This record gives sequence, structure tokens and C-alpha cells, in this order.
Amino acid sequence: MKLRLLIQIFLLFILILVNDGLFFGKQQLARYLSDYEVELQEKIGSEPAVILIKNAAFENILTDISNQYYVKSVKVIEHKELVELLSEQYRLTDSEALLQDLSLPRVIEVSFNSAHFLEEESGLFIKNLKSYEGITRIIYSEDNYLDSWKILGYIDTVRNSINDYWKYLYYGFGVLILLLVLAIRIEIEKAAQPFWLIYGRAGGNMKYRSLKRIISGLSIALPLVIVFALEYYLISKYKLTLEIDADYFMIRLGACIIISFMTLLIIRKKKYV
Amino acid sequence: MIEIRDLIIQGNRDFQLQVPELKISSGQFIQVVGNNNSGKSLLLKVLSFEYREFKGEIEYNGFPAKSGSYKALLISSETALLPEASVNRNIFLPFQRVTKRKKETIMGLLKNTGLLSSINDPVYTLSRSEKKSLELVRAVVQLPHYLLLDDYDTYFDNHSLNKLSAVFEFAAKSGTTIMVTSNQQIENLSNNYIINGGVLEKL
Repeated sequence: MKLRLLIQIFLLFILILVNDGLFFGKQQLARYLSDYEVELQEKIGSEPAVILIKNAAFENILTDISNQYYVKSVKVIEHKELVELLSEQYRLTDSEALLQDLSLPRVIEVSFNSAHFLEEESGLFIKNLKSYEGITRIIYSEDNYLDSWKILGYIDTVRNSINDYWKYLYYGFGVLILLLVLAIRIEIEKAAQPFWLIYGRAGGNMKYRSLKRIISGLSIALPLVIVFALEYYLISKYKLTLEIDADYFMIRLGACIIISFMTLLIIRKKKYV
Repeated sequence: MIEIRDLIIQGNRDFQLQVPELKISSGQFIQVVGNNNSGKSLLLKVLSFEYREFKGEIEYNGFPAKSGSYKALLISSETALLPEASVNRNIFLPFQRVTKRKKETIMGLLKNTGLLSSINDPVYTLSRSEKKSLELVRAVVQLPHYLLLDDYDTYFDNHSLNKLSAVFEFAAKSGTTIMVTSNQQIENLSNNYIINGGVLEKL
């Protein structure tokens, strides 16, 4: 009987750990995906498109581009800055004064709002600029973003899958634990029945039997409390950024205890056969 | 004292056992004789509150008897021992705490019945008679009001009864009434009853 109780405690200990592991795993995975997503978005944001615009249409086009929801910011490269850039790029420092007098096109650098700038928005961006064909030239390549978009797509799929199915897995595992508690308790009480029958016939105190049954029923709470204490201790000691699902813990504890005592009724009515 | 009046115990099918009158005082040794299926075991089960299909009055010390009114231990034909456990484990099974004095009493009675040498042996190695002796010792040391021993003659012959004399003496001194059932009369006692045609009569 003691061995059965120990097996019950050990088995439940493992199951509760796995159940809570699902919760912690979800938290960790969500955090990892979110960090990775931010990293990819930063990468997208750090690769702007450069647009050359004829002076006459500059203001209209600038306003139009700036108003797009997927555009984070538009930086206007001033004439002086452009000249410096060209003279540095093509080693024309001696001709800088000459360049200053040249009528160069206006240049803008478009940084994208990475949270909204995906393949579809890239298409919109290009389509929009095509309407200004002849007065603009664009230095832009989708290739810079393709890998990031692909990974962001995966992240989205994984996140949606987790959100859609994780609860079934998490609470389904909880239900499985309850069913196992029921099966284990029935097994333990069934195995103990001949003993208590003999104990009663031997003149044993029935109040003692009831007390032992209550203790045995409550023993179901032991692995749950141990796991809770262990998790709390580890989180505090190693300052882990994990949250314990306290509400679920309490509901699961209560349900396990209720199921445990329901077993006594089932055993009494011999409904387990 | 238990007083029974106009008791009708309903057994299987149409079987009935009638007990017009029965008084059981403390410290008595009562023998109920009857054939197989005459209702002897049912009577003991009624007195130990294990069987409740009856009509009539059972009073204990002037009040209607109910479970807990008195302590009655039934030693039936079914063995109430843990077969794999030792004699020692079985003898102390109903006790949560045992005083030194009680332990000495138990060991003394086990010695008289010849079970002390088997104290560490598993119960399944004992004979039927030894098993019943063990149950009997375990029962009397609990100082019950009534010790009900079913099919007494099936387990004990004169030789084993001699070994149990100390146990019966202990029970008598403790004020325990022993009520036994048997197929035939073993001892010529004044408190002998017989079940005749479904009715309990005093011999």
C-alpha cells in the first residue's frame, strides 16, 4: 500500500511537471519568437529604399510616400549632403565647387515600418512609385527583405498554431491528469479494501479507517504542492522570467482532491467494475 | 445485557429464524447448536450488526440496540487475517497503540495457545485451528462485550480447546460473553440453545 502511494506521488509529480512545463515552454517560446521578430523587423527597418525625384514633383511625391502606413520615416538628403556624398564616392573633392552648382535630382531615403512592411506592402510601394514613372528612379530590391519576410511568416504560423492548439494541449493534459488520478485512486482504494475489511472484522476502529482514507485521499495534493514549491523556489533563486499559472494550479489542486474523494463514493457503490 | 424478544430473522428465499426470547448477560458462555443452514450464523451476524434483515426487538441494557451500543466481535468461518503478514502483525492489527501491559497479556495468551513460537511466521503457514486461535486471542484482548464464534466445533477439538482454556478464562474475567455455534453440543453447559425447526429454544 505504501509502495502504491509512493508510485502515485512520483507519477503525479512527473505529470504535473510536464503539465507546468507546457506552460513555461509556451512562455519561453513566445518570448523567443517575439525577440526574433523584433530582430528581423529591425533588420528590415535598417535597409531603406532610396528614391531619386525630379525637383518639380518632389513635394507631392514626398507627401504621398510619407503618408503610406508602411513607411516609418522619410529622410530628405539635402543638396549639400548629396554633393559631399558624390565627391567622396567618386573622389571628386577637387570638383566639389562645380558639383555644388549642378542641378541634381532630389534624393529621399525611405525607412519602412517593419511591423507593417511585408511582401504585400512591398508590392504596393513599387506600384505606387510606378505611377510616378519618368520623374522618379528607385534604388530598391526586394531581395534584401525576402529572407526576413519568410522567417516572419514562419514565426506568425508558429505563433498562430500555438495560440490555436496550445490550450487544448495544456488543459487536455490537465484532464488526462484528473483521469489518471481517478484511475490511480480507484486502484489504490480497491487494493486497500481487503485490508480494511479484515481490519474491521479484526475489531479495528472504523474512525481510524476513515482518517487513513482521508489522509490517503489528501496525499494526492502532495506532489502538486511539491511541484509548486519547487517551481517557486527555482524561479526565485535563479530569477527566471517565468510566471506560475497560479489560478490553474489552484483549480487543478481542487479538482484532484475532489476526484480523489469521489473515488471513495465510487468504491463504496462498486461502480468501478 | 442483551434482551431479544420475538425476533424474526429473514434469510435467503423463504428461510426464517425465530427467536422468541433470549437473554445474554455478561461473562456467560453460550452455545447455540443447530444443523447446517439452520440460521446459527445469521443470528451471530444480527448480534454483531452485520445483518439487518430482521423484525422484533433487540435491547441492550434496556435501550434499543444499535451499532455502537456494545462491542461485539464476530469470528466467522471467513478468516479475518492478512495471510502474507506475520502472526505478530495480525495480532496487533486492530490496535493503534499497545501498552506494555497489554503486550504482555497478548504474549502470555499466545504462549498458552502455542502460537508464540510462530510469532514471526506468515499466517498462511498456520493450520485452520491455529488461525482461529489467533483470531480468538486478538478478539479477547480487545475486551469486547460479546465474542461471537461461529462453527466452533469445526476448528477446535478437545486438544485445541484445552490450549484455549486460558483464553476463555481471560474472557470470562474480563466480563466478555462468549457465544458459540456448533453442529453438535460440545460441553454440557446450562446456557445451551438449539435451533429446532427454525426456532431457537433453550435446552
